[in-house]
Amino acid sequence: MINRNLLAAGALVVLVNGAILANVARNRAGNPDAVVRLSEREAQTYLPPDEQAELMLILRLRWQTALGPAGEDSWFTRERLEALGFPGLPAEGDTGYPGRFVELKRKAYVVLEVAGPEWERWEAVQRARTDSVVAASRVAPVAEPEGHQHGDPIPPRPDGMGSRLMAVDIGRDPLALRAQYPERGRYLILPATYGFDFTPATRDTAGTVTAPPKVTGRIGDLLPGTLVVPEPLRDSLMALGAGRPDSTTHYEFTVKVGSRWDAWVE
Amino acid sequence: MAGRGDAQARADRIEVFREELAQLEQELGGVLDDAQRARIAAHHDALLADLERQFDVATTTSGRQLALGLRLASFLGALALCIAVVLFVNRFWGALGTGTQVGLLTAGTLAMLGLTEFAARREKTLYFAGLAALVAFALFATDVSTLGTIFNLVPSQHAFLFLAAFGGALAHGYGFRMLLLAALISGALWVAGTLLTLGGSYWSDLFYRHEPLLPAAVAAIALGFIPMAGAREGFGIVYRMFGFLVFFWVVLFYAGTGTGSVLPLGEDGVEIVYQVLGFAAAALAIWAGIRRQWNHVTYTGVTAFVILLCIKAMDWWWDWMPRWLFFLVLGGMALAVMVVLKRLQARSGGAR
Repeated sequence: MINRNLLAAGALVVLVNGAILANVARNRAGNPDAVVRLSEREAQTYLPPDEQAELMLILRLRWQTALGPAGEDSWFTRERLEALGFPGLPAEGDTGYPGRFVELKRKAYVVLEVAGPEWERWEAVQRARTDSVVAASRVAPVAEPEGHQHGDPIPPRPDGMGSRLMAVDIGRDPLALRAQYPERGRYLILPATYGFDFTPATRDTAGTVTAPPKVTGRIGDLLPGTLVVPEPLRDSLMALGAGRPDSTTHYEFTVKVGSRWDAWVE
Repeated sequence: MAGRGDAQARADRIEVFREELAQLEQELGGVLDDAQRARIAAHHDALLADLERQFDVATTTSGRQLALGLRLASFLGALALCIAVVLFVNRFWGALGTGTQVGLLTAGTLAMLGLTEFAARREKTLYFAGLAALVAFALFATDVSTLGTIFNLVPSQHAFLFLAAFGGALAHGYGFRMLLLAALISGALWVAGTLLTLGGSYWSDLFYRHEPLLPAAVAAIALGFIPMAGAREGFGIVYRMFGFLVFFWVVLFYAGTGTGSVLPLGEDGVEIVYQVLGFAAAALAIWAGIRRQWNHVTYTGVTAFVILLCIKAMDWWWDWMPRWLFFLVLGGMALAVMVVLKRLQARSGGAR
């Protein structure tokens, strides 16, 4: 007679595989929650080594956090963290907070805007900052190392290289976020981890606090963070140079997000 | 005879008895008459033959050495095959369609399960069956992980529950201790991840915050202490050692550095709580180990106790005490522990 535990283990294998496939089918059934076109600017590819040419082509989405409403570095402020119910934040103005040895992460849903107004604003600010640095260095040139006497001290930032995917909002309820951002071809809503950064107070030489400590939100990783490119798109993208660091070829792909907030590439 | 381990222990005792009898007869001359010696030898020969037939035990020194070699080869073989499975998937997976990938992973795991049963029916020692079962476990883990990657699924701690159930079923079905350990590790990760999720954190924080591992460790210790009807031979020691090692690892970590705890006590408060808990648990482990004659539990308790003593000594004296005096005091504490253990040993009837 066959060992009953063996049968149970076999049944578990079938059940788990079945459950995973059913979940995938349920996620991809019906109208997707979002369908967006992205390019090589938004995707970092894993380069398969020559001896592992059959590896999967995997894309990691590249994104940036949008600026705050008044041009601050980020919209993800302490107030937003508190609104999300993040526990254990240091008290406001706590100059004695030692920082944390252990990173605290929570899960939420992030809204990512594709090549929209937030990206244009971010690009404009970056360009202005670069221009002002270049102008300042022309007025008062910085001492350059020997053998480097010609050309611009700071090379201009190449346009059309950065990701246009901007994280613009975060929340615990993806449906509420979708109601707030109804454009399904412009806004991706994906699960992600988030936490907080603590910038200690700045002190002068006498030890007086010149700038108070600051707590800001930080979006960690998109979940799952990587997207496997299925056949035959994989071969097409590989032929276009996806995965090669020296590739300058432009390519695009479609990312869809299903009803269970899992994304896939088409 | 409860199992193969008991059978091997009996065969070992017979071997020792024969050696001691031969030594005695060298020192004292004949202590048994020929008839008694022949009767005992015949009984032992029959018993050894029976044990060999029933349990495939090693009845000679060379046989025992070979058995150890077989166990080692079986473990290393399983490890190599598991690595081969993972590397094979990495090397060729991209060339296969999604359907083929899913089919191969499922069928591969089921095939290894079939091989486990096939080998178990043909060999009582279960070396080959154990190897096949470990490879089946690795294949199932690769299956779950690779499906998650292929379909871009959000990682979840529930994958560990599937692995724990799979490993536990095979371990209890055939008595594989290595798979029981794999199941316990997976189960502990699932419990910890689930507790973190219930507390609002992301489950993967368990790799940074270790306290949620404590409930699983305590449960494993409890399972190791409670006699269970129909329990497999040697499982108790796996439960106890896994439980104690995880428990003391977490306790010692927070006793040394109170950072990252879920307790709302501040770093110093956390350190004190875990130091007290650690000393109490170590003392209990030593007491229970001596009482039940479980050397592994006693040694684990003593080791934890000594490490905690060192942590406390560092806290109290390192900053202000001259180094020579610090280590002198540490040596004195070690002597004190030895005296206490000696007394405990004497009270329990051991060497004086």
